[in-house]
Amino acid sequence: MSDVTIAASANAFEQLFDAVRDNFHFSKSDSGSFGPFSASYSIALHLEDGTLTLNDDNTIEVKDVDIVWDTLEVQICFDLPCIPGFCVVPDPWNGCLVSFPEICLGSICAPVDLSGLVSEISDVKASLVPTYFVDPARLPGWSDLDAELNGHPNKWRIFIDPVWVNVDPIDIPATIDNLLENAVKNAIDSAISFLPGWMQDIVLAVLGPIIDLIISTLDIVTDIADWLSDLLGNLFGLLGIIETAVADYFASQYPIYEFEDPYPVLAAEPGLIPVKIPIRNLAATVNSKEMVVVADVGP
Amino acid sequence: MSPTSDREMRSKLLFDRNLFTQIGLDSGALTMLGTLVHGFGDPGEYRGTAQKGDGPEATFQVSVDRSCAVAQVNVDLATLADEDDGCGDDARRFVVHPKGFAVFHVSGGSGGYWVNLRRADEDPAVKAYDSRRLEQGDIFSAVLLRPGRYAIENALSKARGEVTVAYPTVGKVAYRPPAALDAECGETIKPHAIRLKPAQGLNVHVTAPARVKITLVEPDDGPQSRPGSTAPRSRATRRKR
Repeated sequence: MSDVTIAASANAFEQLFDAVRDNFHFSKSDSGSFGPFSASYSIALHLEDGTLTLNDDNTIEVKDVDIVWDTLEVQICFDLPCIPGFCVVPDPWNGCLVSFPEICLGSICAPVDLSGLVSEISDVKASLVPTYFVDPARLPGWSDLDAELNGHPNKWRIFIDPVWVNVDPIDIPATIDNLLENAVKNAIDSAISFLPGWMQDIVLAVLGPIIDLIISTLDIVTDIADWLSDLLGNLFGLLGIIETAVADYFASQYPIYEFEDPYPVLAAEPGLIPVKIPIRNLAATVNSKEMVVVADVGP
Repeated sequence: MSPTSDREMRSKLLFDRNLFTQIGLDSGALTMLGTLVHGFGDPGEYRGTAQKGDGPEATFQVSVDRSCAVAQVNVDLATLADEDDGCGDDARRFVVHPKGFAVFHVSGGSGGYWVNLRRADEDPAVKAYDSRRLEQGDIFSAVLLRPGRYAIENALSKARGEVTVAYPTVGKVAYRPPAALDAECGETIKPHAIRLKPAQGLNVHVTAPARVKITLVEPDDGPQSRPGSTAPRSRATRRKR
């Protein structure tokens, strides 16, 4: 039988979890080339809400956690179509022996800001894992008392160790069609603004309707919202990146609870050092009602 | 996903200002929108010079070789002048089949080039080719981007004609210029009145010694002028106002 048993009710555990969840912030930016186009993104996100369930099989399940995209900026760059060349000397087989070169227009970049979107972590299944933490700032010659007095004591930490984290695809709203169309139109207008009006009209005529240009140039076979969701989630791998970041955060960065070791039982008083007991063999489990932490008092 | 080094993450237009500031065309002073197609016929080694103004800009060699299946060699007069001038320089040596063509073009810059060609085994009896005086069989290919009405003339024979370039409209599908129109230039210009769609090519086949000059007479600025347009105006336009 263990020497120490501590329990936290489901409600208390939920408050502990809320603190862990609220402390999660993640940001990243990257760029890549995907054949006919290049893209870059810049994201920053945090987590909100979600429902927590403690199970009798010693697992924790968290559902429907909101991913709030504080920043979700995407930039898409692609080459504009060229004004085609033409045949000067045809060959007898309906081909062309000599041709006039095409006139290429260059490339444009269209930024789209989707900040404020909310997507979801649909499911996290986890168990509790205690780890022993030796403060790296603790000097080798320090006693436990020295470590405490210097603010670098060793600790037992209890982490939520996810078995899996499922992040839903980013649900891009259908309004992205207009957003991207306007972004591309603005980019083109800006890029060709130095041209005389008649030359601008030639360029615009060659480009045709902007939405058709986007769909054909970016090789979009479904709809723009699905395409962008796929770009971010799969081509850039953001779903996997977020799943890994969340799992790593829960499992090793922010404990749901931690104990100082040796554990202070009586605080220091004038002329008396604090009374501390060493904690050994700490284990943490959950059932449907509470979290239970047991430990031995060791040498 | 691959690195983005091949396409910068910013808008970048490739327009050379000369595309829309040089409105007229002259087969004896090639610019970006005018290309000269010249056939050699006889196999052999040819020495050429790209000239601009009064002096030579660069030299090059053309081997007209029956064993070569290449029908078109592109000689970029703009970059030719940038290459180091050295003997045996591959960048300045071109090979083409006797029934093929050399295409002299200008990829950028203000241009104004003409070409002089002569056989390497120089024969004083054979006159050198001078692109300021096109020969029968040459083709001067041009794109007239600026909408409007142009005069086309053979400066050697004083044959004249007219070219009209339509103003572009943004339609329900992306516009693609139709196939190039063919015209003849020699003692006369046929057809006399040439009507081009926007950005449509014009192949002028030379039937007698010629120097093709195309000059803007009256620009077409479309259904309405854009505010802040920096369109270069021809003298004809100023007079009209």
